[in-house]
Amino acid sequence: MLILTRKSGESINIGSDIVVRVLEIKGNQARIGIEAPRSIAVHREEVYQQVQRENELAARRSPESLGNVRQLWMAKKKPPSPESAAGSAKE
Amino acid sequence: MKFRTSRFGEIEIPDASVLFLKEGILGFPGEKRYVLLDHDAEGTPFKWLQAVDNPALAFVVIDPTEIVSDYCFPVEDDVAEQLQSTSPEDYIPMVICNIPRDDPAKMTANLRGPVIVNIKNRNGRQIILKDEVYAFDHCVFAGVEREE
Repeated sequence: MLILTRKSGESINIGSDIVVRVLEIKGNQARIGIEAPRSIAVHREEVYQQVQRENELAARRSPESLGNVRQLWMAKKKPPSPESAAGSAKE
Repeated sequence: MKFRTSRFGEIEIPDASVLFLKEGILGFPGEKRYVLLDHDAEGTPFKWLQAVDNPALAFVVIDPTEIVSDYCFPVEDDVAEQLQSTSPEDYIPMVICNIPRDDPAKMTANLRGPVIVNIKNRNGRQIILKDEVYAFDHCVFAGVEREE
């Protein structure tokens, strides 16, 4: 890993079209400004990793069949019972 | 086109139904061709996003508006450009479900990282929403319960 020391307001160029600028440093927090072409996705690392983790978990857990899931969905999709709807309407 | 899957055996699908995810699903950069299947899903909005080139890789997906009826998100210009779409109506959105094997009722859906496909050319991509309104692990069945 390339390690550079930068002061507030100083920048790093990556290739010809990406600029990373240290905007402000306060205690252990740094505000970073990034200029990059729109085609390059910029995300906080933990957000990116979380989506990747969710995907990997989903793939690993992926069931052999949707039988159980279908039952759950059908049960939850049932409309509320007519008695309870009528009861609240009378009041 | 015929291909093999670990869950559904050998499958034959029209060539024109293959979806192309140039960057794959995050964490699975090698698989770029997928198809949507509805095995065992009759009467529900669930589908399988099955990899064409990896028999064992299949995600359970759902149209996010089935979970959150007003689900919406901005499509950035670079994504629209990559998918060559000209209108918001070009997109089919889907979100990946995470289903605990021992308790499927605790299923969650990743509303923060939807997969979108341009139905006109079948190019797709998983995107990460910058806005934090939607969760990585939204409870699917709790959401259904809240509906009227």
